[in-house]
Amino acid sequence: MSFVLPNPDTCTGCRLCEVICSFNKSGNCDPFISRIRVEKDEINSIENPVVCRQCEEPECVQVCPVGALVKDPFTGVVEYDQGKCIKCGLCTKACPWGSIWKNKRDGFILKCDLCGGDPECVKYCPTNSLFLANSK
Amino acid sequence: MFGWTKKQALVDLSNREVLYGDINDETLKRYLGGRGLNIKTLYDMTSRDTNPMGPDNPLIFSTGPLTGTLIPANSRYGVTAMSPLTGILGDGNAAGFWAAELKYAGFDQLVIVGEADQPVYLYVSEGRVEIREAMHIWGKDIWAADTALKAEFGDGKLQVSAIGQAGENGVRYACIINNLKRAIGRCGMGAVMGSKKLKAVAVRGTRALQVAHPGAHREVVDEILEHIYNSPGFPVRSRLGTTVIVDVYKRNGTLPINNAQVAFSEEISKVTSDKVSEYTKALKGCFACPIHCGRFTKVEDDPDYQDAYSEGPEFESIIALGPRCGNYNLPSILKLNQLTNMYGLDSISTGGVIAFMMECEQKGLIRKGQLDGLDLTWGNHRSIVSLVRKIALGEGCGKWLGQGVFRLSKEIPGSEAFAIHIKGMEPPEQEPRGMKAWGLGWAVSSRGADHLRAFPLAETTWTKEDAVRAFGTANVVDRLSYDGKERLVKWSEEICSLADSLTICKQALVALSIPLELMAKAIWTVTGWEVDPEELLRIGERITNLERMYNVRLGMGRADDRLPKRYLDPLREGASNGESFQLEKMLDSYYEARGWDVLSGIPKPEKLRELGLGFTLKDHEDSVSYQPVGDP
Repeated sequence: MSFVLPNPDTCTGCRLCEVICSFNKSGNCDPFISRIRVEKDEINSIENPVVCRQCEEPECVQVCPVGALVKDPFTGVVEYDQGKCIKCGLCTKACPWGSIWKNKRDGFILKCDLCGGDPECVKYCPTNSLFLANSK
Repeated sequence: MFGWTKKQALVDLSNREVLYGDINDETLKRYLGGRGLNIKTLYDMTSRDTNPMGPDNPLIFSTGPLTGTLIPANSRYGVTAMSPLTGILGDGNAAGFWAAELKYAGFDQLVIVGEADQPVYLYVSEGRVEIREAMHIWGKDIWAADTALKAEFGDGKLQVSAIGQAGENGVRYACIINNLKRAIGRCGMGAVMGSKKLKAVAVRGTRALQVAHPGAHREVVDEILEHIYNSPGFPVRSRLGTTVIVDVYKRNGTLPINNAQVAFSEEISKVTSDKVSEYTKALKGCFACPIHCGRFTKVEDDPDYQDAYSEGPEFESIIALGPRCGNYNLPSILKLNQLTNMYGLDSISTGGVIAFMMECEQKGLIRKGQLDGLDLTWGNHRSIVSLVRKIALGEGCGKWLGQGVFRLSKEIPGSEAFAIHIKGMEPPEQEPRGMKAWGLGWAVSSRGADHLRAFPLAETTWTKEDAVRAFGTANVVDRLSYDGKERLVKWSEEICSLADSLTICKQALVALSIPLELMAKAIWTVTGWEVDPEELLRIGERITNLERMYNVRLGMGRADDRLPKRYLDPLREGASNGESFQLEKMLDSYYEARGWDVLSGIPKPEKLRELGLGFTLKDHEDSVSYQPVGDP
């Protein structure tokens, strides 16, 4: 069971992860639809990369009324089925990490899917502040 | 073509109107964006009669085709206007996150004219520009204004480029700042913005940026990243950023101490990179940049300055507000870095003014205590902090000091000998006598005394083999030699014109020497436009020549390409002991290398036509100082 674990202390706030994530998914440079987001408070030197933790007991899965979010028992990834999604947004309210978002362009959901097991953001982070963690 | 949005907004603050236009492909291929695109716009929109603080002076923001893509170190923007400090070309270039946001908001360029009747700010998003009231943030420092705007929009991703009190009060060397400390630093662009009652340009970009060849784009990005990470300079640049330059210049004896009276002191050890590291809490990087040369510093245990924190300081700020003013108190320098970032003051010019006034007091040209009772002994950091506040807020003597060294020295008889400026702008923190290429670069820079037009790092970082291959002589990497420096400076200037127009950071292109072949490939993957390194250098040459003609039209020529008197005397200490500066022969060689007339310093007509700048020839003939020498 894997997930991307950020280290906010070594993150420089460059947001290269946002660009490579969106580029990998869409072929465009488009942080607006990135599945990883770096929250920042520049004046207080705070960088907080936010990305789905692929929880063991996901709140988003529990709250989804149509079963569009399902935890894969083999990979551990909380998979999203856009075909079932009714855009209610309950998952975005339920997530304790704030790491699942509505795509404001079309109302569907954006969340990390681990890029199939080899996450791009982990590979490209210049300070190795993103770690592919294994929970077991 | 991709990469560019090809969209321009013309914002008329007097009439509160915004017009949207398209920038044509030909213009973009000739000038790229950023500094290059801006000089073309400035040339077309101004004349000799333009008043830099008046409504007709356009304040132009733009970015380049690579901005917002995966090409490393791309998020830079240029701001250009006629300078209220020098009366000639003014511009600055900054990084952080603002430029990428502008691209995602749908624009390559914003051209701002007129003057608002009340303070306003611009909100740029989704291909539209709104002019909004700014009374509630006018009078705030830049950090407070940034915080207020982010709160107003409820969006921490809003990017803000703003002026502080210094720009509002018309300080001639006021700057514009985004992301805490990224400064459109020089030439008083902040004063132009303040004269328009424009507090900030806030941008929220939510559009996708398409590239022409996504597969090849990733490939070239991987190649450039590999080059950067394996570059010999990477470990130092990524850990110590520009703070390491203090160490290098100490070793070489090339620091301007006490208004450049001396070039070396053991006291410099108090402000070397290891000392700055003691206050460094974290490393910081600009948008999509793998080099992360920035840092966040904080003073935690100091009787006078324990509330000092900011991103930075960079080399120039450390020296300008430090040893240039005889100040080796590092906590005070960190405080001054914070203040100049919050108030929006160019740290280089601010240090130049204060150091000049200190020498005036030292030489008895002003009375002790004449500046509001402040003691101007070298190194009195409390006085320096007081002066910075007064200058920014226009209080007491601050109003007078806000004019800059050039104007101040006219009011202080006997001070001309040590009023250090070129074309009206205070110099950066090098000692040219120990770095001959930099001295030439200062003298011929199109915006006055400046280190970033030429930025000939090769002089101290390349091997002899590289120097011979590129410039025909190993003397090019002997910093004390004059030989071949004109070729180094010409090439360096074109690389920098290119960097400022693509836009890409000079840490990447110059300091870590990304090959032009890779840049050409990068441009093709983004835009679809096939361009080769020769064409890229020619674009750099075109931009440098157009900037020259802009200043020629204002009456500038060889007489203005000079070094201040102080640099004619030989140094008497440090590793560059005995060195002085002979500029004239260097200028002759430089003009010849550039295809400019040697007597007048004006580009020859055939050079202008070769670069597609024939349109400047009619203004050329009207220029007051133009001397036709052997031309048809």
